[in-house]
Order: sequence, then C-alpha cells, then structure tokens
Amino acid sequence: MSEAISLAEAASHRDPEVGLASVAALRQMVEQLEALQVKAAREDGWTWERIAGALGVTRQSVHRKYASRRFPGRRLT
Amino acid sequence: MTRRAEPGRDPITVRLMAAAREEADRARHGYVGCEHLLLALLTDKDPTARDILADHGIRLPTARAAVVGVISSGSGDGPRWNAADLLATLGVDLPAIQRQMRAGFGPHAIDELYRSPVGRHLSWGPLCGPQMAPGLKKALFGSEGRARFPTSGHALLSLLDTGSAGLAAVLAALGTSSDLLRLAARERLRQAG
Repeated sequence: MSEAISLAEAASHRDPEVGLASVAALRQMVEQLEALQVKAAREDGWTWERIAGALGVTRQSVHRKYASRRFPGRRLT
Repeated sequence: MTRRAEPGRDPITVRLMAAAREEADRARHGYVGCEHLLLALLTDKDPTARDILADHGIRLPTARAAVVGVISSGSGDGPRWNAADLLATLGVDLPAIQRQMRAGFGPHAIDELYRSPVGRHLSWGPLCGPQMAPGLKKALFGSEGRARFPTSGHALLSLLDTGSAGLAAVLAALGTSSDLLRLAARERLRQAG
C-alpha cells in the first residue's frame, strides 16, 4: 500500500498527481459547462455557425462535436 | 447528478445507495465504491449484515478508519480526492459554480443535459457529483440491473462477490477477508431460512 497523504499536504508539496488530477477535473467541468451552454443556445434557436463563433472555434469543429447528436425537429444549420 | 430515488427500486438498494454516497461525501472521496457500501451496511436499519460483520469484529468506527486509510493511500477502487477539493487547489470554487449553474439552468440541469442529444455522449464531470465505481453498481444492481435484497445480509453477499480490490484491502486491514465473511453470511442466511 502506498503512503497515505492528505490532499492539502500533497498540494502544498506541488505533487504532480494532485496538479494533473486538478487540471483533469477542470477540463471535464469546462466540457460540461460548454455542453450546457450549447444546449441552451440550440434551444434558443442558435445556428451551429453562431455557436462556433461565440466559442471561438470553427463551425466544423463544433458541428463534429455536437451536431451528430441530433436535435429532433431541428435543422443542422 | 441529483440524487433522486428511482420508483420501483428495491428499498434496501435505495437506502444503501444513499448511505454509501453519504459516507463518500463525509470522507470527501472522489467516488462512491464498495468500500462505502460496507460502511452503509453497518449503518442500515436492517441489522442482518451489521450482526454478521460484528461477529468478525467489524464495527463502524474502525471500518470508517480502515476505508479512509485504504482510499487515502490510493488503494481504493477510484480517485482518492473529490473534484471540489482538487478544483479548490486551483482556486476554483465548484460549489459556487454549481449554485450558479442551478440558478441559470434549473435544479435538474445536469440530469437534463445528459439526457439531451448534446449531452448523451458527454463523459462524467465534476458537476455530476462523485462517480459510482463499477463494483458498486454490480453489488447494488447485479449484472442485469435488477438485484433485490430480502435483507441487508443478501446485500452483503452481493458486495463480497464483486471482487473489489478496494474492499479486499479494507477487509484485510480489519483482519478478515471476503471468503471468511461470505461463509459466515451464507450460514447466517441459511439459519434464518
């Protein structure tokens, strides 16, 4: 069994395991927040092009990421 | 995600799942696993599992200490640190973001996102709360998702059959093993008829 260590202790020693896990958690949360905003924008009738512009990415990338997950009754513009 | 009991679920399963989550939250662990289910069995109102465990010297305070020891050393079935604490090391306030999200999108926004076309393939993330370890799902719902437990002793047997490495480490720290407890549980349930 490896040594038990508290998160505060590990963080104060700049333990890479804590640093990397923290960044991974942040990235996962950003993905969730982005998806929440994309869902809300689509429900408000935003086009994929407009969403891509607001996110600062290409229309193709936002389309590839979300548009295959079809919205019933909505045109993928 | 929000913690709502699903209708039609086995009452012991619902109770144990809620108690296991509480144990994981209390210890600020990054997942809910078989280790927490063992603690849930020790707090359940049905004494069957608790009595079997007590016969092997396992009681709540020592079991909690063993679970904390195993998970904080990185030998549990999932991440030892929860997302809120990890994000706090970066100066990010997860509870504040969750409050803001609920205010802006509604109290069930995350559940609705994961059911929507946009969220259907989205991976787990901190806004969902702690993940359930696969072993815990197997213990509580069985391979077909339809486990029913007449007593908490039956839930204990299901837990012991998961092959969880984290649980094995906890039981070893408590001076016993899945095999020993399984024999005792089967005997107790056989006697109870």
